[in-house]
Amino acid sequence: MNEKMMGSEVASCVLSDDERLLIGSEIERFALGSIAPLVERPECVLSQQKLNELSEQAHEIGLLSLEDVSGAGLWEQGAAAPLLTVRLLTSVAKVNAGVALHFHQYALARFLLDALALPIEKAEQTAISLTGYYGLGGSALPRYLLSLGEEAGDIDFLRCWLDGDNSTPFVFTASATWETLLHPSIDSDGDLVFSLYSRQDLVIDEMSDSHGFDELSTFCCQGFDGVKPINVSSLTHQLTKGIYSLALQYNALAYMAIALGAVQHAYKIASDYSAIREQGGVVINRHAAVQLLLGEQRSSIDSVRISLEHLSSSRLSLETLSTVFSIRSISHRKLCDAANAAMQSCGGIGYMQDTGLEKVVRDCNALRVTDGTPMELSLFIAEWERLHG
Amino acid sequence: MGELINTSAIEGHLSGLHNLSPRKLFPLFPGLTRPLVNYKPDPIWLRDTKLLPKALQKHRHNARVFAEKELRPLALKMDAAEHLPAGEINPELMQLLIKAGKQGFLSDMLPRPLGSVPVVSYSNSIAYYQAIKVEEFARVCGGTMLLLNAHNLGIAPILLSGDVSAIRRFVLPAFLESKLGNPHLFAFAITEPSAGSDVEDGVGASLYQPRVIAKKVPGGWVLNGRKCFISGGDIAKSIIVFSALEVDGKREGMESWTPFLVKKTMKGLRVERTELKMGMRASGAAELSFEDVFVPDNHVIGGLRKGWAINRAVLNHSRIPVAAMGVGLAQGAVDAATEFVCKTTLVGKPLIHYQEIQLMIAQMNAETSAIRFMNWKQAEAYAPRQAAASMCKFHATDRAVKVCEMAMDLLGNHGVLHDNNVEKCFRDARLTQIFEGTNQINRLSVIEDMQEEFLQKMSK
Repeated sequence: MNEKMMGSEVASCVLSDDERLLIGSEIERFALGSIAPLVERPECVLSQQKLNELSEQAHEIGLLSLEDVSGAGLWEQGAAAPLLTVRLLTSVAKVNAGVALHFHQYALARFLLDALALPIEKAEQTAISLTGYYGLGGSALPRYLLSLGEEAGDIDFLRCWLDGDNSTPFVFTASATWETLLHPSIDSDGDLVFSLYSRQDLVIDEMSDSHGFDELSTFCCQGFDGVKPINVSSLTHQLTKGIYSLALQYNALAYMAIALGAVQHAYKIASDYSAIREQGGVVINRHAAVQLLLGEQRSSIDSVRISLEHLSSSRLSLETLSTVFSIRSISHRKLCDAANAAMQSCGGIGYMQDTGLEKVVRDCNALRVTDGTPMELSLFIAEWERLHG
Repeated sequence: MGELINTSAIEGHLSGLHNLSPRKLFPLFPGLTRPLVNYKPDPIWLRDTKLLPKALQKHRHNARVFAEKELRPLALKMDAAEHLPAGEINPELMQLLIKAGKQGFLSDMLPRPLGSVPVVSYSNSIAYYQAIKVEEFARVCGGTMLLLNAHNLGIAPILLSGDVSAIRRFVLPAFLESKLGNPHLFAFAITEPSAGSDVEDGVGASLYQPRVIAKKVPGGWVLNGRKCFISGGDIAKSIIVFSALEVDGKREGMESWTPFLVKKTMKGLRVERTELKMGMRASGAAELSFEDVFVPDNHVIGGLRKGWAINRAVLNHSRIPVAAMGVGLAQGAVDAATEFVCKTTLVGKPLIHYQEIQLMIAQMNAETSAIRFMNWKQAEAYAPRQAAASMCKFHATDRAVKVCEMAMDLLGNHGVLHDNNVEKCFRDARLTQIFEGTNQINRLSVIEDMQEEFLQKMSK
């Protein structure tokens, strides 16, 4: 992938299939050649320094766009063509889900800062917290986003959900070295805005030993009420809602793509192991007990991959939000079950950190419960559909 | 328990003082039928405890008190503690073992005065007694629970062998040591690097050539080979090692399997490593190597070539407590999730007031209650049937993991935080689907045990 291909000359065009394939194989080479050697021992956590070096390399090959250059990097092709990004994230996650999430978070920050006309040079150091401190905005969020059937109290509910209630912290995952945090809120007119906060102005705790994504850190933020942002978006309410809706969809697609890649990795380990491990005098992939586990993994991978490809081949808009959430609601359950099945296929060694499977299980769990659990997504979808009659 | 009734109510439900509430109406039933209606708002733990035999009610209470007092403060800390070199134990865990030993939790496989089980409790099956304790310990911490209870898996083959001499020589002195504050742990070593399921399944065993071999020499046996994933094998003073025999240069198969009691101090025994596990981290899973380890004849447990039968009997007994681990971990997740939804507010309203939260909490309680009573019922048997023990094991642990997943879902973004405990419950519970026979092997064990029924139907 050369700079020309990734550079500004292709900024606004949709890539051809051949170009996508070329980029895809380039990223696969990067993942296998540069990331894989650093994470070949899953029990050893990738250091921040190595993560930074990988980010630099990702910039060099155009997987992550530079601050002042638009190209064909992650989320750079826009709402018209998220397919490439989904495939690239899956490719990276096949090697390491944490690195993939890190790249996604950078790209999403860059997309949001750019779209919101906020200083894009902050992208590298910007963490994102897209949702409120608990849940997915209840039934108020779909009403608000659709501007349909709004009820008294919705605005107050969403404002509190996004600002915090001074008792429950916001939890988010990011690279350890972030300096600014991008977060949505509802202003005094009831309009959606995004604010950029300095880390120094927030009450932040870095949490140890979180469930997944060992390469990144988990943070608790005590809330935004009364904290003065360093920058606030000033786009129209409708435009900001559209951008928020897109960000939610990019995030959902990325989580699915990363979980898919991680489970493909787990499936490879499980199928390789079960092709050589013997029980009862035959290799275990000849036993129905293991075949059922392997079959479940393959079915989950195929069904999620096909749904995801189909979904990300269409143009995203506010109208597609519910569909993206629907697919996400089902996909994460399937992928978590598949990750567990991969671990189960390997018996005792599957439980050990050096096999890498338990990390996949943890990462998939973390993706399932973050920014919308299956239950929260279902409630959102139900209200959305009710409003559409 | 009247203090639990107050005028407020969970949203969507009538207060206990409302004129239509059963809490208010049931006590007004005539004396004749009042015993048929239950209106006391006792916590579910108390209600369940009252369903146990009297002796086990007290045991359950004692186990909970010990778990809350001694295991709770260590649970998250030990889970996150640095992985120590093989054979070393965290000083705080050693203190826990000392306390557990002094309070009789390391000698509770035999009645007093030989062990520490009240004679009245011993009228229930030992699996039942263990299941009650294990459930309470696992509810608080899977890792320290396993640290304390893998030991009983090592004791079980000696007891089930019926070898009174071995019990007298090995078990009773160890129990005494533990009671005096010098913990003497046992471990159970069956798994080999090339055989996990083969040592837990009849057909697999019939085809497997064991790699740990005991060669006959004058006065005893010389053991060579490796065992892996041995819970507590890193710190056990006595290890029951199942080995095939080699006599007069002829190497025998699994039918020759024999349990040998190997002392930690015996020359040639080495703890090669302890695994970096996903969960249950306070307990080591050790790889042990045996290099020309001489074991005297009188360390053979239960007789030569009795190992396979003893192993299967042990598993039938131990799978009930493993199911109890699942129940306890599920309960731990339910408790942590309940705490979260009662303490956490969404826009000023505690989460428990939201109907979707109530539905999940109800489902998690139902799942946990179902596996608890399945296990308790089967634990009543003094001689657990293979099918019953395996059904309890795989079903309870599978459902337990699902309950832990639900708890993580309930907490959402907060579910990933170590401090909230539900993700630890998940990681700990995940092991129970794998050890003591994977849940796939346990399903097949059910069929093996039921085969006469099926054969009979086929013959008609």
